[in-house]
Amino acid sequence: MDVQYINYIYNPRSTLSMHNGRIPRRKALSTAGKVAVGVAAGAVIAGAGGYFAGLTTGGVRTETTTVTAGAQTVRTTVTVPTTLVQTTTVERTIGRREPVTVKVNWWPGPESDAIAKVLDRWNKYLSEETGVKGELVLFGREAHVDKLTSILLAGSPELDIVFEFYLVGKLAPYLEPLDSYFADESLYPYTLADYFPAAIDAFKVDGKIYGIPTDVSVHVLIYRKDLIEKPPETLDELFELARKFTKKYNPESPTEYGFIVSGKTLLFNAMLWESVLASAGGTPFEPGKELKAVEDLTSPAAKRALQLYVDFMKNEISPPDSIAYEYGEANAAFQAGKAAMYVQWNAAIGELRDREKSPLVWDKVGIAPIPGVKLADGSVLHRSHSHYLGYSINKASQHKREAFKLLAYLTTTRAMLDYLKFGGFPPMRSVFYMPEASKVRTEIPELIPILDKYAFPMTNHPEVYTIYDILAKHISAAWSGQTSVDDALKAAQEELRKLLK
Amino acid sequence: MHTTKIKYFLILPALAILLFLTLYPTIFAYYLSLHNITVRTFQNPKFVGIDNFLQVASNNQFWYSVGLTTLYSSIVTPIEIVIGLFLAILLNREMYGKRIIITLILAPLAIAPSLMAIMAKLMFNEFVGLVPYILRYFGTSFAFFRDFTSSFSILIVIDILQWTPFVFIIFYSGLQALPREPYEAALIDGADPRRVFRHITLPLLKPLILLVSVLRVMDAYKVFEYVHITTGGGPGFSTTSATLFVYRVGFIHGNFGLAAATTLFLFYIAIAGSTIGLRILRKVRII
Repeated sequence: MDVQYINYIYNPRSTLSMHNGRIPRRKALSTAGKVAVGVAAGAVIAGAGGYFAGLTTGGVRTETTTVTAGAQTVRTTVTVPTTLVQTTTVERTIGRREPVTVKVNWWPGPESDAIAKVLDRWNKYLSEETGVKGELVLFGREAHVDKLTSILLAGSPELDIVFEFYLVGKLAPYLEPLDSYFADESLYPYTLADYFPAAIDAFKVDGKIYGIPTDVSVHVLIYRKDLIEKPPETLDELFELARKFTKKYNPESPTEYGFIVSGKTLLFNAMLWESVLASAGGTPFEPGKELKAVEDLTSPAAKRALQLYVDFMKNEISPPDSIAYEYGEANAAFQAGKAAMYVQWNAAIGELRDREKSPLVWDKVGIAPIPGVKLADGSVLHRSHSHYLGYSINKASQHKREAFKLLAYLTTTRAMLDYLKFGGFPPMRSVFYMPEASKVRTEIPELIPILDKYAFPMTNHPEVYTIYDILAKHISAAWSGQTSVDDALKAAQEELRKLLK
Repeated sequence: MHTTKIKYFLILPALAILLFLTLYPTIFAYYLSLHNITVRTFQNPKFVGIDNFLQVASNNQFWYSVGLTTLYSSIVTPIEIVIGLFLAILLNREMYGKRIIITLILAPLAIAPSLMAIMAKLMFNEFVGLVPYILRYFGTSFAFFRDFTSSFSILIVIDILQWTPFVFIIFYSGLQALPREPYEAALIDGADPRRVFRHITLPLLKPLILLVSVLRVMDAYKVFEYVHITTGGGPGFSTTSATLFVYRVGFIHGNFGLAAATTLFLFYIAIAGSTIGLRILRKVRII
């Protein structure tokens, strides 16, 4: 597929059509027309002169005009037969020019480290042929959304490709719809069918595609496989097992706490709890089901899911200060060998299984689906919140087509395999099933069934951040014992109703 | 006449920059506050009059955050003034290693508030923190950040750790600049150190105390990084400061109109608060 892409890029005619932002077709034709008229007039005079002089002009006469447009030089060659009925052909030859720099925004971390290496390869091997060079622009992780939103709202063209997550519904008016680019086979000779089912849908707003996924995030139960032979299937089993591995209740327990609640008032922590909510039979915030999710917030299933976390906190099965924990602290507690289980993003697995980063537990990390409730048929309900990180094109970019060429490359198996090897986690089946992928990322075989069977996509509602922020505020109040489970869910429901009304 | 014109002409560039940097954002803030401007409606905002202000005024969480921030600044400011003044008096004498001690005291000032918050969070972390480690060493333990009281206390401790040096250095400079004559006269009259402090040092430092109070209250009222990084405003909503509330409305919820109205509301509250505060201080003859 890449060879096809490179061959395609090598075709100068196609290249010109792809670069139509540089040399407007109208301008080229207009110039050619002017030249043609001039030459035709000259031919009439010369022909008449030749006729009268008894001479023939013979063969084909060629005139060349050089037009400079931007960084490119276009040589327009007009072929004129000696007859007065002329045919004009315009050949465009593009001279050697500097590649267009496409600014690719990312946030610092393993994903940007990975994309930096993929971009290095692009710049080394494909930049010259495609006329596009990628340049990484990093924002701080904390303020990424704030800065990105400001740039997009201001209509600034300073970024061409933007890294965004969850916010496609909100930022869609400032992003370039990509359907027409994908539909153009000459521009996109690949397929999007290779992605996991929810991956492309996550970037659709009103039926239009606004982005391409680069990473998938899904929730899993992480447990100590050296201590727990069979991971808990149900929420009841989870609670009992967590109690068993808490020193307060079992002085023989090798771990101090059985479970870690990521309890900080943070929207990402509300997302983590949402997997428990969904596995308890509650309604999560899936695309198009936001109102139902709000109405079901006071359902017995939601109460059960929240009560479970309250019990973890109240009974000190989770560290008492875990009410202020987020991703880093939860990982640190597990890495220190202090806890037996927790619900976490799959992104943590790499770090936990790294011998240097997690010397105490690297070889003891088990992964399982989120425990749930037993269904009528005897099976257990497992559900996992999933969402995608990805990239879009800034609507105000001045190099959209060039940006798309780079994006298109990033949807290839080759590029995404590199991305995975360097630290990313692309939601592509072809990449996941490659043997070399599982060698570098040992969790892949364990994650495939979770992604295939249990994952549900997070809502792409424009108010997605607000939804989870409100939820986090109220459920965290319940976890800390400030308010009861019923009151917390009721308050969240009322505030969310107002928001979504 | 010619000279007068030139001087006005010369200040024009500075004035233009100043107006651009202050007047434009102020006008824009008022414009935002009167419109329904969200991320999605940014290009076609709808005029809503004072709706945003009414929304803010009727929001219990906003008033809670204002109350909490007021409580916060009214706790940290006097504590920092007392400790800062104590340290300044303690070091306002010839002593061995004074320069090193002053450098060490001032070190927290050089740390960015966000970094200070991260360090504090690590320092109080149950598994990797130094403080719980020391407590465990002495056979006891305490879970910091477990509820509102402990979380709020940690926020106060961080503020005091970072900003007492600022108070100290101002008082120290002030003490160094005080005239020696009143002290010599008091010494001849046989006044004890307590009386000297009460009747000479304190009255002479009153302007500085006022300055420090105003600066610290203003700064403490803007507390953001400590809360955002350590507690995220939780548990629940309990430690959400006024600025974090604005941040949430503006950047998490993307409602810029409401965020601007909240900011202006806070501005009016600050003006009213500082006016009342200064009047009280004048009444009790502190200034």
